[in-house]
Amino acid sequence: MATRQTDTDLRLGRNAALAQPRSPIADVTGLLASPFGIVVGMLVSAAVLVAVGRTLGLNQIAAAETFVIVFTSLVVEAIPFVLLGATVAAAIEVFVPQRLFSRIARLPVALQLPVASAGALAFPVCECGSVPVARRLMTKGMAPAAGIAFMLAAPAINPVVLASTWVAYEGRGNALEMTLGRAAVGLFVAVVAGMVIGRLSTKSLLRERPASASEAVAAASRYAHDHGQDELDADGCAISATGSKLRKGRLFAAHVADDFLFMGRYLVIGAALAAVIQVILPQDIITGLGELPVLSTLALMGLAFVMALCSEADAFVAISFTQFRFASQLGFLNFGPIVDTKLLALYGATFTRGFIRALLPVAIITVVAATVVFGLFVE
Amino acid sequence: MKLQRRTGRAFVIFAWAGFFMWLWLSGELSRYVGPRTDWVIPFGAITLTVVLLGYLIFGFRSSGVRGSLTRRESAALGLILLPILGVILIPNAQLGSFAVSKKDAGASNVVLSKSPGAKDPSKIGLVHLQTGEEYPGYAEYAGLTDGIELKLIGFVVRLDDTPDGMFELARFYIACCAADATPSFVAVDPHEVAPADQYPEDTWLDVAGTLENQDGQFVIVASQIVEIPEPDEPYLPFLGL
Repeated sequence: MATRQTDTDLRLGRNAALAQPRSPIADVTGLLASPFGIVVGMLVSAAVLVAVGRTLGLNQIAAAETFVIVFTSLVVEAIPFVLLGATVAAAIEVFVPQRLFSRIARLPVALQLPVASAGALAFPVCECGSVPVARRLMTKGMAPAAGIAFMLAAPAINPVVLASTWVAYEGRGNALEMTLGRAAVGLFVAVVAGMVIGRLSTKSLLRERPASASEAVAAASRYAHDHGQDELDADGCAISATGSKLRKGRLFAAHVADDFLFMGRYLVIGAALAAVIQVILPQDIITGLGELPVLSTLALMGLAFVMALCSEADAFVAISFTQFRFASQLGFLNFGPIVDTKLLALYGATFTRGFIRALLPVAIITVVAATVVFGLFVE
Repeated sequence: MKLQRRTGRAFVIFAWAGFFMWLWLSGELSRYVGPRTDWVIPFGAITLTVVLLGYLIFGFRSSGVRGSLTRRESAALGLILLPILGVILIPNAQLGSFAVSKKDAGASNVVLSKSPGAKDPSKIGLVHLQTGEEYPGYAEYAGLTDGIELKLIGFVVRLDDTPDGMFELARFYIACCAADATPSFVAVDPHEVAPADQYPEDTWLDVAGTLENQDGQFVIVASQIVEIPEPDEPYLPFLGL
């Protein structure tokens, strides 16, 4: 017979249900859902997977081995840069005052765009890191044209990329031409893409993300700050300066985790696609087009799309395509950091389809045109 | 059974931090990244650990991460763990003859400025031989002439155009990670040591022999072949050749 709740029960937080004994099943599921239970569960699952893999002889299937190696290497190489980009984006969101972005937003686009492109020089990460940063800059008020130009220029003109390009081509005696060509074509493509695509509004370019805790709390903080109000905690009490710093720390941590976990899933999808294509498609189907003008450039651009290499090391791969002219190799170097399978997945998570539909033709046309002109001067 | 959102998210970050730590401390990183970019592994391990600690200390208390994971969120978090699951399912995976058949053999021109020359045959590697086959002028410059004694390490590959009674000895050269690995290989004539079919594909060998140019194709006439385990660093870097 159920007992009636007394005032004492209510005061002590008991309720009638607690009078009922817990079932063993509820105890077990509660334990499994605890952090301890999760760790044990995952270890057991890992052991089962190892046994399954060995029983099925998966490591005897060469295609599966190759897929796992390529897939894992792409993700492992990119994750630190995604994390770096997420960290910078979080720092921009939490620590950079909104009034600075309001001032930048008031500048003419014609001024924002080249400054943002040149600012990419100071951002030595590959393309995976620049996407979350660009998104953050655009949500803070930077003109879409400038944000896009920054995102596309960063992987092309950052010092690490240029240095690796120089080292790779030093042996052939045209390190200067290829390095300058890469920087110039990269900047050109970034600025043109920014100008063409940036005519769309931020709202029509950026995909709405599921509301995250960090953004909701950040918005509340910004509202309080912009309206000269004290920041309030969950109980409606004003937060002290120390409390405000802790709150910023929480926001920062939450933002980094949000961005990393959100971008990470799309990175995995893009890397898996690149690995599948590399396993299925023989490379010589593309490299066999080396002698054909323009088509050879398009072929290497297609290969760059499929291989999804990091821009900080792709020069060493480009130079191995000895049957292709320098102009085609430059197309490989400049197209990959703008669009590849990984980036397509990251763009899909961040931007609308309108952005991708606009970017592809702009990128293809500008890269081909710029590399043809480059070839006329160098070759 | 309901899993807390913050617990699930923390676990994924923990799993990746742990995976990077394992790659770093076990030396397995050389299976996935090259010497030039292997710094990303310790960098990732440390950064992910810091992010995890920051999330546990600070981010756990953010109001929006409370609540249970939905199925969609669980699937999304599980997706991020796929590479780790792949490595668990297929441990010790390596790029071998199958990958060679899919990739274009590259003669990297990085080697041209750093050729060891005839004075130091011990530094001649598979990529030098590949380049010499493609560029006869380079072969002469590097001293890749008939009769020089070479010692090479690689794995066995058999391609469609591999001459009968021979096999190819291959090695991958990489710049960044295994995704950009480019194979270089040379034909080996083992008839003075053992029949060619004694060595299955993907077997790692240490081959010593004499270089011969047979109708424009370099062949190593083996005088000694030793089967070896996969090297700790299966890929060679383009730099420092």
